[in-house]
Amino acid sequence: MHIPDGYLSPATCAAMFAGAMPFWYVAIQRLKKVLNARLVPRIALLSALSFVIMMFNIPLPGGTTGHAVGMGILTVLLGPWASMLAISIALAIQALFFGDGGITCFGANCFNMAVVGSFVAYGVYRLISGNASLASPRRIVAAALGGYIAINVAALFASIEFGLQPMLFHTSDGAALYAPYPLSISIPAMMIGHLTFAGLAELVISGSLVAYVQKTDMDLLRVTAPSAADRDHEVIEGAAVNLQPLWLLLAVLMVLSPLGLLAAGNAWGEWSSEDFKNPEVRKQIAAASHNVAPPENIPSTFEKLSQVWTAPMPDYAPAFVRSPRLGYILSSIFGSGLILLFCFFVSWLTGFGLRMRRRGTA
Amino acid sequence: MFRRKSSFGFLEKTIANLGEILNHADQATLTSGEKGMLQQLDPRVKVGGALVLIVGAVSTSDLWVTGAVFLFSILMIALSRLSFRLYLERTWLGVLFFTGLIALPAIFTTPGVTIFHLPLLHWPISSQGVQSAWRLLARAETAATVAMLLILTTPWTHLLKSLRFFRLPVIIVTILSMTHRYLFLLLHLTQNFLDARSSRKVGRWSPSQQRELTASILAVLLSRSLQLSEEVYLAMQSRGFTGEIHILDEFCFRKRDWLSMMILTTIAVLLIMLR
Repeated sequence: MHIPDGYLSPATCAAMFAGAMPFWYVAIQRLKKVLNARLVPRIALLSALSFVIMMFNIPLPGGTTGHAVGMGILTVLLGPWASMLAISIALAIQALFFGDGGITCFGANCFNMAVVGSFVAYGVYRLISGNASLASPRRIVAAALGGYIAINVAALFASIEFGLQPMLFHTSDGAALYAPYPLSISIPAMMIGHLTFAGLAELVISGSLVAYVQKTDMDLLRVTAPSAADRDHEVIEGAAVNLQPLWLLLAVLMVLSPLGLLAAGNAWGEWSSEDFKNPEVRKQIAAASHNVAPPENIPSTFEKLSQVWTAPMPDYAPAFVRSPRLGYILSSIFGSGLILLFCFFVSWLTGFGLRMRRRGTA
Repeated sequence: MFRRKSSFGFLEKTIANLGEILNHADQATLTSGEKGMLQQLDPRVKVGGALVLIVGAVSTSDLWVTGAVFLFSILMIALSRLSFRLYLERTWLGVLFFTGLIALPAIFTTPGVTIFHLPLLHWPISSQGVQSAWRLLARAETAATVAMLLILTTPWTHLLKSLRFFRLPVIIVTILSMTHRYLFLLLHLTQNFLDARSSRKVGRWSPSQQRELTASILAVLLSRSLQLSEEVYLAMQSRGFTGEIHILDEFCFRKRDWLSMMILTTIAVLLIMLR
């Protein structure tokens, strides 16, 4: 994933530098703000460790080996901003001292591996680990998956940068000036290797090192989990479960719900009695059923049962809403709201039961 | 990022990787102390010059310009008393193999005017494909040659100091120099671990045993890194570190530096005009 000089155009390199620059700036400002002498050698040593991790051929199932970057473990131990600096420094030493990874492509390499890698690893780690205790096995899974997904997203970014080159920079007769493969080749070529080998290497390293830290010095995990308890049975008073990412995910899914409109026709087997009467839809049903035509006469019970309950919002849209997109979003809000109300009611009932029991024992 | 190989060579391969890096560092220390032309120049001129040449070689669409930068680099290698064999082994063959492997399929996949058909397989080779592959290879070789010139003729400490001249924040320069220093300690430590384990190895290891070994070595390295960082912190405290970082900046421009800068500026202007 270390892009050498000559693979990306100077314009792309400049854009990637510009993309990485604000992140570096904020990271340095944050480092200066919280600068304690302890952090400087820690970043330096973990940066050196990231370099050594890159040197290892991690044995993988099937007799192959892969190289990890260490973005998972560095993010867990340092947080995303300091991890971003540490990986950038390891990449700078590789480029300036060992000639590995281009000097002009330094911005792109840092953007992919240090910036994107660290933030994706952090997001996945926090999302999966939630408020689990520091000793929880969930943290191992979270770090492993964080590393795996981070290296793959970083590789995806690199492959997009490669794939854009022949589209944007070519001679008048079509010869590519930089990386010669279009997105249709560059993405699968990069991703196959990373989804399998390099991703697994990162997964193994991130998971096993977090497991090791849990056994030796658990407090190191507190940097990215400040409110977590040490052990599962300990409960920190006032530490609320952070549900913000889940609420955000729910909101995004609600907004995306009109995507269902993109699907043409009905799902197989979800036909209404009206559909069987419509000649156009009958043709579609036959085509989707290996050219077996639906029965001419609809069974009487089918029609009767379909009239037992009339939905207040048929076809995911209240009758007064004209726009199907708005209807989808309103339906998703209404549906999710009903489910949440039901959950709150059940939790209130169980809480009520517990309170009554405590009062009884007191 | 990945490679297929037999499980037998896993330790040996990693030891070889580490050895190569340590050798490279030793070699760079030796060559940067030679009395060659580039070694005598101010590092700031060399950093600026290397950037100009690499950006020039990468940005031009004219292969003659890339070729001229490559020839200029060859001249510099000779004048700086660097070994061509070292270059062949460390740079040219490596780039040829790596970039060649990536560029080769492009001669078949790039659409354009067919100039030849591959015997037996009858795959068409297009003129545009050959141009694309050749251009990629030429650029990568030239840029790597210039970058190695800078690396092999400039001590790391000088390179770091010159980065300050280019307005790199002091805190980053400090972390860079610390990382570089402790990197070699960790590399030596890793090599010792692997040598010790390899000398006790009989027969083959299963992949799961190899993974276990790798994870345990890296776990010990992590532990050692954290312990070292605490020791360094205490050492910094004992020397009165207050958060203010100072580094020595004692470079001064001499006549030859001004001359080199003028030559490099001329080259930069020529490259821009030829672009």
